Amino acid sequence: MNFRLFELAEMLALITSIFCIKWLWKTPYIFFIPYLLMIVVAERMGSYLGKAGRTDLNILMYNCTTIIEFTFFFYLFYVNLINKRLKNIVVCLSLIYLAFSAFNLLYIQKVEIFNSYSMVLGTIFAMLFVFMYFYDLFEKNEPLQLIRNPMFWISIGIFLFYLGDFTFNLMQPYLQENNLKRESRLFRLINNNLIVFEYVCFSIALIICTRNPSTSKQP
Amino acid sequence: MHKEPFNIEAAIIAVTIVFLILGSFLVMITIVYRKRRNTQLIENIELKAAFRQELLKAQNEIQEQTLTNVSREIHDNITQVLSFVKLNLAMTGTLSEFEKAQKVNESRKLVAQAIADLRDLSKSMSFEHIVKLGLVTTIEIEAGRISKSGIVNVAFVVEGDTYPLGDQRELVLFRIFQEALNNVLKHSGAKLLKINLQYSEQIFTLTIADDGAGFLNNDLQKDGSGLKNMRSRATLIGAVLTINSEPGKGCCIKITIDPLLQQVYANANYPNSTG
Repeated sequence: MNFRLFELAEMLALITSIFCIKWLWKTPYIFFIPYLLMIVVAERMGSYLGKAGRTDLNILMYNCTTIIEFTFFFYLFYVNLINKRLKNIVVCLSLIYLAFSAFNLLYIQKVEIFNSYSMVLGTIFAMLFVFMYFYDLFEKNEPLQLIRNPMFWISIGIFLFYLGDFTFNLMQPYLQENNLKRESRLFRLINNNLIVFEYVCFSIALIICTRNPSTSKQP
Repeated sequence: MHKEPFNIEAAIIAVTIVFLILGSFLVMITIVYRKRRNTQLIENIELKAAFRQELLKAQNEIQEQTLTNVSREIHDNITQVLSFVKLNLAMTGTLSEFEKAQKVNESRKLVAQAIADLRDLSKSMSFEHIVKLGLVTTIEIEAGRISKSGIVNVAFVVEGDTYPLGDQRELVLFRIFQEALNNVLKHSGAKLLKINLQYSEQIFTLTIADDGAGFLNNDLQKDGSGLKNMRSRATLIGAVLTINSEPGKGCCIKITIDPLLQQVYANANYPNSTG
């Protein structure tokens, strides 16, 4: 089996989460285990389906896992935010995202092509939630060590990954329409490195949970 | 047409890189801002702890001072009065009916005075009475007690409409007043003590002035622990304490508080506030 670097980073995060299960138990971060398992399996299956020429199935799987991925991230922001108004905003926007993604999957871009509209909407919401989380951190009236806060690392990972992915996702329909595959390949280079960064951040967050259980149970 | 794919590629990558740089910058700003805020919050917590500690110390000192006053009052006043009553009653056996009645009447008056004194003492048995009665009444009772002792004549004046300064603040102010009073009684040899409480919208001023021995302004630089305590406590509640004195011309201690600052202080969220 030939693993790519970002796949190794995802596997590393999965292994870390399994090793940290004792500390993640009864915290919202326990859902990292099924989430990372899904990502690792989807990545492997995607690689297999791509080689087998089953692009349709590959895209369908990618569209579905993306919805689950965003929902999981939104849930993490919901439980980590303290401000009630911000929490309500997360709930409302998450429901909008889910409704739009389902509608897009069934009626607009459908299952055959990559659902870039849902991706762009999810990316905007995820970045917005990161801003809201940072704002919440600013508002806290107690001393707080950011680098010892698991959610801070998760936020950095999500923020920089989706920020880097944003332009490409926005241009995706145009690139598909004009069949500009070279651009996609070049962009993959940046994207793959950002995936490595994102999952390394997740691994750090999970390790921090073992060092500081009280912080991880904070929500 | 040939250049178009290159342009899109360059544009996407350039925008992505710009976004990533901006994102990293934002993350750095968040970390730096939070670090600064942490420093500020820790300073605030330390100041609050120092204030609580100082307040506790002031409460203990008030208690100690009150007990000293009570014991002195019992020894110098009540015990004397009751001994006199005892003597009066012991003498009644040899006196005529008229003289007996006179002595009993006199004794009754003395017992009534002792009861009144005891009642006054019970009022000053704890620092909680400062909170209950307020700063003006507490200082007035203390002034009355000193005046009654005959050591020094006390002129007590309140100007303006009184308003509460906050329990903790009044407690600390009373302790400063008690300390100043002690200094007057112990060291000044004053005949007259003027206590003035001035309430205005802009400022509250407590003045304690005596016509005693006074001291050189140079001595103020040395500041005995009593004066140092008074100064540090005044600072702690956001007040300013000034001392003016000259040899032979008495001493004047003035404590001023800005009522607007008091609001900020009460909130304890003001970064420069000691609360």
